[in-house]
Amino acid sequence: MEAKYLAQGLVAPITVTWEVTYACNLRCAHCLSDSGPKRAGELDGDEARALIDDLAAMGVFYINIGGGEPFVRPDFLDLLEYATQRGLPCQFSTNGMLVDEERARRLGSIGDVRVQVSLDGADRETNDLIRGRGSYDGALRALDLLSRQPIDELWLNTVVTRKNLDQLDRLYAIAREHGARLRLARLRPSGRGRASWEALHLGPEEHRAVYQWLTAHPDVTTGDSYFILNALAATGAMSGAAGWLHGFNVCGAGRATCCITPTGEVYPCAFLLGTEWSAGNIRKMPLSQMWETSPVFAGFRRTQIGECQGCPAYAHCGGGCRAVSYYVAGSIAAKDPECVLPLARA
Amino acid sequence: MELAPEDRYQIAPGWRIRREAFGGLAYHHRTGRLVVLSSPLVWALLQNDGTATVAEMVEKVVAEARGTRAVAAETLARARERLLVLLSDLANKGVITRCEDAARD
Repeated sequence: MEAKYLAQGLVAPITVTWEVTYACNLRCAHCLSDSGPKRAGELDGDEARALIDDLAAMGVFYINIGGGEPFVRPDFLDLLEYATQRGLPCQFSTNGMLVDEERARRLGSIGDVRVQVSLDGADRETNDLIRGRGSYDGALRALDLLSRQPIDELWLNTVVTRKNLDQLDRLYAIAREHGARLRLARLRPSGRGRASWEALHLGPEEHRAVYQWLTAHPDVTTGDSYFILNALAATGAMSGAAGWLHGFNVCGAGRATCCITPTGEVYPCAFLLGTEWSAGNIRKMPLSQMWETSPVFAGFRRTQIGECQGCPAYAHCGGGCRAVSYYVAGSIAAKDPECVLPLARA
Repeated sequence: MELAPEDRYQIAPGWRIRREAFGGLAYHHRTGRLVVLSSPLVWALLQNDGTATVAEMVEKVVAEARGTRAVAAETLARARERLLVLLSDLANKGVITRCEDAARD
């Protein structure tokens, strides 16, 4: 989607990321929401349903649900059903550890749901190093159970790090074996990801390898997280650059998406959850009003990346991810520190 | 998919559309596809529940856009052609379907 359409401001987000709880049965090294114990003041069932009603009335196209681990929340499947019955398709991420036959069966009976099972390694050692002991087995068991149900779409979601970059073919095979699609997500230095960033994030050559792999596997999705790599296609700066990656070619924070936390705070995206980026709380103002009036969102919609002006790739990568720019380079208006062009020009 | 002027059409199953200042957006959750409706005229063309033909909708949209202004015949002809191209594009992207095709699906 071209940036010019987002610059005009949309009437509603295309999607909203909603973290339904901070509670999680794992402690992944890169968790963007720093999840763990449930926190005081999380939205109750009535508040959650009111939020869903607001999103449906706004015309949000789908809800992207995460956490924490959504299944830790006892009413999660009830809320999922409520949303889809109001015409709001959903997708959600799960570590799979709490997926059992009953939950899988119930998920299969709810239409308009995409399920993403998280797996960050093609073997127990690699995955569990990041996500915790037992998580590899839990994810594979969930894939087995879910693949037997008539779920709209089943995805295997992998955050790409230097620990699993050489396992993409095997992860792809695991997804295919279970009738699932592979989704690769870019690591951001958010939440616990800030502490693990240096150890896990990719270097320039590794990003180029990801681009080559993605263009060779066009059925793999990226959740709009790898648009910086479009700079390689835009400029022809890499020999053998094979074309565009599907999805957005610009950061959607505050423009096409936003994030609602378990306590109702609203942020431009799930990777910018610092108090300095809060647009408000839905307990005080509905998102439908906040989307139009928040100065935080207005600021994001106006943000231009000065360093990138004049670059032929800017229209295709938008200067990269604002969260990476903010946490690594110190400003949301800085060029993405992982820009691939300097490498390609070398 | 080619649409003939006498074809009736409607939004294809699974697509949701939303009006925007620039025109609109169409989204299909099962495939994750997002299509930009690049002008308000395209949005207007999609306000068809399958009872109007291509030709009827094009005339309707042209008339609404023209209002009471006097517009050269050549300009109107180009507008009709442009709208037909836009409709064909939506059909090729799967956003709209011929009504008989929708009944079959």
